[in-house]
Amino acid sequence: MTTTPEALTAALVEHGHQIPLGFAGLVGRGPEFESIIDGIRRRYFAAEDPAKEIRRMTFPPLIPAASFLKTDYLTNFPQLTAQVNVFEGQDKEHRQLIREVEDGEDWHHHFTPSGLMQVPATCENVYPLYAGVLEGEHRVEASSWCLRFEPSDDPLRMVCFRISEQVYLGTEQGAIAHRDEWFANALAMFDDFQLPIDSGRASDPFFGRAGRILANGQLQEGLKHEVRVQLFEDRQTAIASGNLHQTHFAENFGITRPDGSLAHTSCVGFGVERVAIALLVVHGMSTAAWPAGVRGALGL
Amino acid sequence: MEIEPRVREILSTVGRVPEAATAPADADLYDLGLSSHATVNVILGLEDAFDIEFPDEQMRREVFASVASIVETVGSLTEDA
Repeated sequence: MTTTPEALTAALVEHGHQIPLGFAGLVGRGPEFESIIDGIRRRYFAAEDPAKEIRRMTFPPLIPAASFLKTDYLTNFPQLTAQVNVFEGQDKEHRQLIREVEDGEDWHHHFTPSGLMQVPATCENVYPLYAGVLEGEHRVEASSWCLRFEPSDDPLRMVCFRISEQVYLGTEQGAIAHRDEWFANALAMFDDFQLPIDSGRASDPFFGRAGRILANGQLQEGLKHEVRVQLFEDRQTAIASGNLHQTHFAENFGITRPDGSLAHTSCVGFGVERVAIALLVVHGMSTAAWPAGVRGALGL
Repeated sequence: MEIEPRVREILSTVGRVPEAATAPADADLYDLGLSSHATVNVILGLEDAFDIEFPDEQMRREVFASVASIVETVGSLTEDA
Protein backbone atom coordinates (compact mmCIF):
# COMPACT_ATOMS: atom_id res chain seq x y z
CA MET A 1 0.00 0.00 0.00
CA THR A 2 3.01 2.30 0.02
CA THR A 3 3.66 4.76 -2.76
CA THR A 4 6.39 7.24 -3.64
CA PRO A 5 6.28 11.04 -3.25
CA GLU A 6 6.42 11.43 -7.04
CA ALA A 7 3.63 8.91 -7.75
CA LEU A 8 1.47 10.34 -4.96
CA THR A 9 1.90 13.92 -6.20
CA ALA A 10 0.98 12.84 -9.74
CA ALA A 11 -2.15 11.00 -8.52
CA LEU A 12 -3.29 13.93 -6.33
CA VAL A 13 -2.87 16.35 -9.22
CA GLU A 14 -4.56 14.04 -11.74
CA HIS A 15 -7.63 13.66 -9.53
CA GLY A 16 -7.94 17.38 -8.85
CA HIS A 17 -7.00 17.13 -5.15
CA GLN A 18 -3.83 19.14 -5.56
CA ILE A 19 -3.13 22.24 -7.66
CA PRO A 20 0.59 23.00 -7.97
CA LEU A 21 1.40 26.69 -7.49
CA GLY A 22 4.97 26.67 -8.73
CA PHE A 23 6.73 26.47 -5.36
CA ALA A 24 7.68 23.26 -3.55
CA GLY A 25 5.22 22.58 -0.74
CA LEU A 26 2.71 25.25 -1.81
CA VAL A 27 -0.49 23.88 -3.38
CA GLY A 28 -4.16 24.61 -3.92
CA ARG A 29 -6.91 22.08 -3.23
CA GLY A 30 -9.99 20.90 -5.13
CA PRO A 31 -13.58 20.57 -3.81
CA GLU A 32 -13.51 16.81 -3.16
CA PHE A 33 -10.35 17.26 -1.07
CA GLU A 34 -12.03 20.06 0.90
CA SER A 35 -15.03 17.82 1.61
CA ILE A 36 -12.60 15.32 3.19
CA ILE A 37 -11.02 18.14 5.27
CA ASP A 38 -14.47 19.21 6.52
CA GLY A 39 -15.37 15.59 7.32
CA ILE A 40 -12.19 14.99 9.32
CA ARG A 41 -12.73 18.08 11.47
CA ARG A 42 -16.40 17.24 11.99
CA ARG A 43 -15.55 13.68 13.08
CA TYR A 44 -12.79 14.80 15.45
CA PHE A 45 -14.77 17.58 17.11
CA ALA A 46 -17.81 15.27 17.45
CA ALA A 47 -15.92 13.61 20.32
CA GLU A 48 -16.24 16.78 22.42
CA ASP A 49 -17.95 16.13 25.75
CA PRO A 50 -21.08 18.36 25.90
CA ALA A 51 -20.71 18.49 29.68
CA LYS A 52 -17.42 20.38 29.34
CA GLU A 53 -17.31 24.00 28.26
CA ILE A 54 -15.19 24.30 25.12
CA ARG A 55 -14.50 27.63 23.41
CA ARG A 56 -14.26 27.42 19.62
CA MET A 57 -11.69 29.60 17.89
CA THR A 58 -10.53 29.97 14.29
CA PHE A 59 -7.31 31.87 13.68
CA PRO A 60 -5.48 33.48 10.76
CA PRO A 61 -2.08 32.07 9.72
CA LEU A 62 -0.37 35.01 11.49
CA ILE A 63 0.64 35.86 15.05
CA PRO A 64 1.93 39.14 16.55
CA ALA A 65 5.72 38.96 16.83
CA ALA A 66 5.62 39.79 20.55
CA SER A 67 3.46 36.72 21.23
CA PHE A 68 5.50 34.57 18.90
CA LEU A 69 8.76 35.39 20.72
CA LYS A 70 7.24 34.31 24.03
CA THR A 71 6.58 30.82 22.66
CA ASP A 72 10.38 30.18 22.34
CA TYR A 73 9.72 28.88 18.82
CA LEU A 74 12.50 31.09 17.47
CA THR A 75 14.94 29.53 19.95
CA ASN A 76 13.82 26.00 19.17
CA PHE A 77 12.96 26.01 15.47
CA PRO A 78 14.54 29.02 13.69
CA GLN A 79 14.85 26.85 10.57
CA LEU A 80 11.04 26.71 10.19
CA THR A 81 10.30 30.34 11.08
CA ALA A 82 9.04 33.01 8.69
CA GLN A 83 8.17 36.66 9.25
CA VAL A 84 5.97 38.99 7.24
CA ASN A 85 7.74 41.95 5.65
CA VAL A 86 5.89 44.92 4.18
CA PHE A 87 6.47 48.01 2.05
CA GLU A 88 5.99 51.25 3.99
CA GLY A 89 7.72 53.76 1.68
CA GLN A 90 6.39 56.82 -0.13
CA ASP A 91 6.18 57.69 -3.84
CA LYS A 92 9.90 58.13 -4.32
CA GLU A 93 10.81 54.79 -2.82
CA HIS A 94 7.93 53.14 -4.66
CA ARG A 95 9.30 54.33 -8.00
CA GLN A 96 12.71 53.04 -7.04
CA LEU A 97 11.21 49.70 -6.01
CA ILE A 98 9.39 49.24 -9.31
CA ARG A 99 12.47 50.26 -11.26
CA GLU A 100 14.55 47.68 -9.43
CA VAL A 101 11.93 44.99 -10.06
CA GLU A 102 11.83 45.86 -13.77
CA ASP A 103 15.61 45.90 -14.01
CA GLY A 104 15.83 42.49 -12.32
CA GLU A 105 17.72 43.94 -9.36
CA ASP A 106 17.38 42.98 -5.70
CA TRP A 107 14.29 44.89 -4.52
CA HIS A 108 13.69 43.14 -1.19
CA HIS A 109 15.56 45.77 0.84
CA HIS A 110 12.49 48.03 0.44
CA PHE A 111 10.53 45.68 2.71
CA THR A 112 10.68 45.88 6.48
CA PRO A 113 9.34 43.68 9.31
CA SER A 114 5.62 44.23 9.92
CA GLY A 115 5.50 42.97 13.49
CA LEU A 116 3.73 39.84 12.26
CA MET A 117 5.08 36.32 12.08
CA GLN A 118 3.64 33.32 10.27
CA VAL A 119 2.12 31.02 12.85
CA PRO A 120 3.73 27.56 12.88
CA ALA A 121 1.27 25.90 15.30
CA THR A 122 -2.36 26.83 15.86
CA CYS A 123 -2.31 26.86 19.67
CA GLU A 124 0.35 29.61 19.79
CA ASN A 125 -2.46 32.14 19.30
CA VAL A 126 -4.40 30.65 22.26
CA TYR A 127 -1.95 31.12 25.16
CA PRO A 128 -1.64 34.95 25.02
CA LEU A 129 -5.44 35.15 25.46
CA TYR A 130 -5.14 33.56 28.90
CA ALA A 131 -2.34 35.70 30.38
CA GLY A 132 -3.18 36.44 33.99
CA VAL A 133 -4.91 34.45 36.70
CA LEU A 134 -6.74 31.40 35.40
CA GLU A 135 -9.93 30.47 37.23
CA GLY A 136 -10.66 26.75 36.84
CA GLU A 137 -9.94 24.76 33.72
CA HIS A 138 -10.19 26.03 30.15
CA ARG A 139 -10.62 24.07 26.95
CA VAL A 140 -10.31 25.46 23.43
CA GLU A 141 -11.10 23.91 20.07
CA ALA A 142 -8.81 25.72 17.65
CA SER A 143 -8.18 25.62 13.92
CA SER A 144 -5.96 27.69 11.64
CA TRP A 145 -3.69 27.71 8.65
CA CYS A 146 -0.04 27.31 9.66
CA LEU A 147 3.28 27.90 7.98
CA ARG A 148 6.53 26.04 8.48
CA PHE A 149 9.19 26.84 5.95
CA GLU A 150 10.45 23.47 4.81
CA PRO A 151 9.86 23.34 1.03
CA SER A 152 9.80 19.75 -0.16
CA ASP A 153 8.61 17.58 -3.01
CA ASP A 154 7.05 15.24 -0.44
CA PRO A 155 3.31 16.01 -0.78
CA LEU A 156 2.89 15.32 2.95
CA ARG A 157 5.34 18.12 3.80
CA MET A 158 3.59 21.36 2.90
CA VAL A 159 4.86 24.89 3.55
CA CYS A 160 1.31 26.00 4.34
CA PHE A 161 -1.26 23.65 5.86
CA ARG A 162 -4.06 23.41 8.42
CA ILE A 163 -3.96 22.22 12.02
CA SER A 164 -6.95 21.50 14.24
CA GLU A 165 -6.37 21.14 17.96
CA GLN A 166 -7.88 20.64 21.36
CA VAL A 167 -6.05 22.85 23.84
CA TYR A 168 -6.20 22.73 27.63
CA LEU A 169 -5.13 25.21 30.32
CA GLY A 170 -5.42 24.39 34.01
CA THR A 171 -3.89 21.91 36.42
CA GLU A 172 -1.08 19.40 35.92
CA GLN A 173 -3.42 16.40 36.32
CA GLY A 174 -5.97 18.07 34.05
CA ALA A 175 -3.37 18.68 31.35
CA ILE A 176 -2.28 15.03 31.40
CA ALA A 177 -5.90 13.77 31.40
CA HIS A 178 -6.73 16.08 28.47
CA ARG A 179 -3.76 14.85 26.47
CA ASP A 180 -4.65 11.21 27.16
CA GLU A 181 -8.36 11.72 26.42
CA TRP A 182 -7.87 13.51 23.11
CA PHE A 183 -5.03 11.28 22.01
CA ALA A 184 -7.39 8.32 22.54
CA ASN A 185 -10.09 10.21 20.60
CA ALA A 186 -7.64 10.70 17.74
CA LEU A 187 -6.74 7.00 17.72
CA ALA A 188 -10.45 6.07 17.67
CA MET A 189 -10.99 8.44 14.75
CA PHE A 190 -8.14 6.90 12.75
CA ASP A 191 -9.62 3.50 13.54
CA ASP A 192 -12.97 4.68 12.09
CA PHE A 193 -11.06 5.91 9.05
CA GLN A 194 -9.49 2.44 8.70
CA LEU A 195 -6.00 3.92 8.54
CA PRO A 196 -3.08 1.63 9.44
CA ILE A 197 -1.35 3.67 12.15
CA ASP A 198 1.32 3.34 14.73
CA SER A 199 1.78 5.54 17.80
CA GLY A 200 4.42 6.22 20.40
CA ARG A 201 6.74 8.73 22.02
CA ALA A 202 8.34 11.29 19.74
CA SER A 203 10.45 14.43 19.76
CA ASP A 204 10.30 17.70 17.83
CA PRO A 205 13.03 18.74 15.34
CA PHE A 206 14.77 21.15 17.75
CA PHE A 207 17.43 23.21 16.01
CA GLY A 208 21.15 22.70 16.28
CA ARG A 209 23.44 20.63 18.46
CA ALA A 210 22.04 21.92 21.74
CA GLY A 211 18.58 21.09 20.44
CA ARG A 212 19.43 17.42 20.82
CA ILE A 213 19.22 17.78 24.56
CA LEU A 214 15.71 19.20 24.25
CA ALA A 215 14.70 16.36 21.93
CA ASN A 216 16.19 13.75 24.28
CA GLY A 217 14.49 15.31 27.30
CA GLN A 218 11.15 15.38 25.48
CA LEU A 219 11.53 11.69 24.61
CA GLN A 220 12.64 10.63 28.08
CA GLU A 221 9.81 12.46 29.81
CA GLY A 222 7.22 11.26 27.28
CA LEU A 223 6.05 14.84 26.67
CA LYS A 224 5.15 14.21 23.02
CA HIS A 225 3.11 11.31 21.70
CA GLU A 226 2.69 10.96 17.98
CA VAL A 227 0.43 9.06 15.59
CA ARG A 228 2.27 7.95 12.47
CA VAL A 229 1.23 6.46 9.18
CA GLN A 230 3.46 4.70 6.67
CA LEU A 231 2.66 5.84 3.15
CA PHE A 232 6.18 5.58 1.72
CA GLU A 233 8.47 2.56 1.80
CA ASP A 234 11.32 4.37 3.53
CA ARG A 235 9.63 6.53 6.17
CA GLN A 236 6.70 7.12 8.43
CA THR A 237 4.90 10.45 8.63
CA ALA A 238 3.38 11.97 11.75
CA ILE A 239 -0.29 12.86 11.32
CA ALA A 240 -1.23 13.81 14.88
CA SER A 241 0.43 14.54 18.19
CA GLY A 242 -0.42 15.02 21.84
CA ASN A 243 1.84 17.39 23.76
CA LEU A 244 2.39 18.16 27.42
CA HIS A 245 3.95 21.62 27.77
CA GLN A 246 4.18 21.41 31.56
CA THR A 247 4.51 25.07 32.70
CA HIS A 248 6.49 26.24 29.65
CA PHE A 249 3.81 28.43 28.03
CA ALA A 250 2.30 29.44 31.38
CA GLU A 251 5.69 30.75 32.53
CA ASN A 252 6.38 32.64 29.30
CA PHE A 253 2.87 34.13 28.99
CA GLY A 254 2.28 34.67 32.72
CA ILE A 255 -0.64 32.28 33.19
CA THR A 256 -1.10 31.47 36.88
CA ARG A 257 -3.62 29.61 38.99
CA PRO A 258 -5.51 31.32 41.84
CA ASP A 259 -2.99 29.88 44.36
CA GLY A 260 -0.16 31.66 42.53
CA SER A 261 1.34 28.53 40.96
CA LEU A 262 1.94 28.31 37.21
CA ALA A 263 -0.77 26.70 35.09
CA HIS A 264 -0.11 23.59 33.01
CA THR A 265 -1.12 23.36 29.36
CA SER A 266 -1.45 20.56 26.84
CA CYS A 267 -2.74 20.11 23.33
CA VAL A 268 -3.67 17.37 20.90
CA GLY A 269 -3.70 18.33 17.26
CA PHE A 270 -3.43 16.92 13.80
CA GLY A 271 -2.35 18.03 10.36
CA VAL A 272 -5.65 18.01 8.52
CA GLU A 273 -4.23 17.71 4.97
CA ARG A 274 -1.95 14.85 6.02
CA VAL A 275 -4.91 12.87 7.31
CA ALA A 276 -6.84 13.57 4.10
CA ILE A 277 -3.90 12.47 1.95
CA ALA A 278 -3.45 9.30 4.04
CA LEU A 279 -7.14 8.50 3.41
CA LEU A 280 -6.66 9.03 -0.34
CA VAL A 281 -3.61 6.76 -0.42
CA VAL A 282 -5.18 3.99 1.64
CA HIS A 283 -8.72 4.01 0.17
CA GLY A 284 -8.15 5.37 -3.32
CA MET A 285 -8.25 8.71 -5.10
CA SER A 286 -12.05 8.81 -5.47
CA THR A 287 -14.09 9.18 -2.27
CA ALA A 288 -17.13 7.63 -3.99
CA ALA A 289 -15.33 4.27 -3.96
CA TRP A 290 -14.29 4.41 -0.28
CA PRO A 291 -15.65 1.84 2.21
CA ALA A 292 -19.12 2.77 3.48
CA GLY A 293 -17.87 2.88 7.09
CA VAL A 294 -15.18 5.42 6.24
CA ARG A 295 -17.57 7.56 4.22
CA GLY A 296 -20.04 7.40 7.09
CA ALA A 297 -17.43 8.49 9.65
CA LEU A 298 -16.60 11.48 7.45
CA GLY A 299 -20.23 12.32 6.73
CA LEU A 300 -19.57 12.04 2.98
CA MET B 1 40.73 28.15 35.37
CA GLU B 2 39.03 26.38 38.29
CA ILE B 3 36.26 24.40 36.67
CA GLU B 4 33.78 23.87 39.50
CA PRO B 5 33.21 27.50 40.64
CA ARG B 6 32.71 28.58 37.03
CA VAL B 7 30.26 25.71 36.40
CA ARG B 8 28.29 26.67 39.52
CA GLU B 9 28.21 30.30 38.45
CA ILE B 10 26.90 29.43 34.97
CA LEU B 11 24.24 27.13 36.47
CA SER B 12 23.00 29.76 38.88
CA THR B 13 22.94 32.63 36.38
CA VAL B 14 22.37 31.29 32.87
CA GLY B 15 20.66 28.14 34.16
CA ARG B 16 18.48 30.11 36.58
CA VAL B 17 19.14 27.66 39.44
CA PRO B 18 20.42 29.89 42.28
CA GLU B 19 20.76 26.86 44.58
CA ALA B 20 23.43 25.46 42.24
CA ALA B 21 25.91 27.90 43.80
CA THR B 22 25.95 25.96 47.07
CA ALA B 23 24.17 22.63 46.43
CA PRO B 24 26.07 19.34 46.95
CA ALA B 25 28.00 18.38 43.81
CA ASP B 26 25.87 15.28 43.32
CA ALA B 27 22.48 17.02 43.84
CA ASP B 28 20.00 16.51 40.99
CA LEU B 29 19.86 19.84 39.16
CA TYR B 30 16.54 18.99 37.50
CA ASP B 31 15.03 18.53 40.97
CA LEU B 32 16.43 21.96 41.83
CA GLY B 33 14.50 23.44 38.91
CA LEU B 34 16.82 23.24 35.91
CA SER B 35 14.54 23.21 32.85
CA SER B 36 15.30 21.65 29.49
CA HIS B 37 15.39 25.09 27.87
CA ALA B 38 17.75 26.44 30.53
CA THR B 39 19.98 23.39 30.00
CA VAL B 40 20.53 24.48 26.42
CA ASN B 41 21.66 27.91 27.63
CA VAL B 42 23.94 26.26 30.20
CA ILE B 43 25.53 24.16 27.43
CA LEU B 44 26.17 27.24 25.30
CA GLY B 45 27.49 29.11 28.36
CA LEU B 46 29.89 26.28 29.25
CA GLU B 47 31.14 26.01 25.67
CA ASP B 48 31.89 29.76 25.60
CA ALA B 49 33.46 29.85 29.07
CA PHE B 50 35.78 26.88 28.57
CA ASP B 51 36.23 27.15 24.81
CA ILE B 52 35.04 23.59 24.32
CA GLU B 53 32.42 21.86 22.20
CA PHE B 54 30.35 19.05 23.68
CA PRO B 55 30.36 16.09 21.29
CA ASP B 56 26.95 14.79 20.21
CA GLU B 57 27.14 11.74 22.47
CA GLN B 58 27.40 14.06 25.48
CA MET B 59 24.20 15.90 24.56
CA ARG B 60 22.19 13.93 27.08
CA ARG B 61 20.19 15.07 30.08
CA GLU B 62 22.21 12.84 32.44
CA VAL B 63 25.46 14.64 31.61
CA PHE B 64 23.99 17.92 32.88
CA ALA B 65 22.10 16.44 35.83
CA SER B 66 24.66 17.37 38.54
CA VAL B 67 27.55 19.73 39.19
CA ALA B 68 29.83 16.69 39.57
CA SER B 69 28.86 15.24 36.21
CA ILE B 70 29.28 18.58 34.42
CA VAL B 71 32.67 19.21 36.06
CA GLU B 72 33.87 15.73 35.07
CA THR B 73 32.70 16.15 31.46
CA VAL B 74 34.13 19.66 31.11
CA GLY B 75 37.38 18.41 32.68
CA SER B 76 37.74 15.62 30.12
CA LEU B 77 37.03 18.01 27.25
CA THR B 78 39.50 20.65 28.42
CA GLU B 79 42.20 17.95 28.78
CA ASP B 80 41.62 16.99 25.16
CA ALA B 81 41.98 20.56 24.01
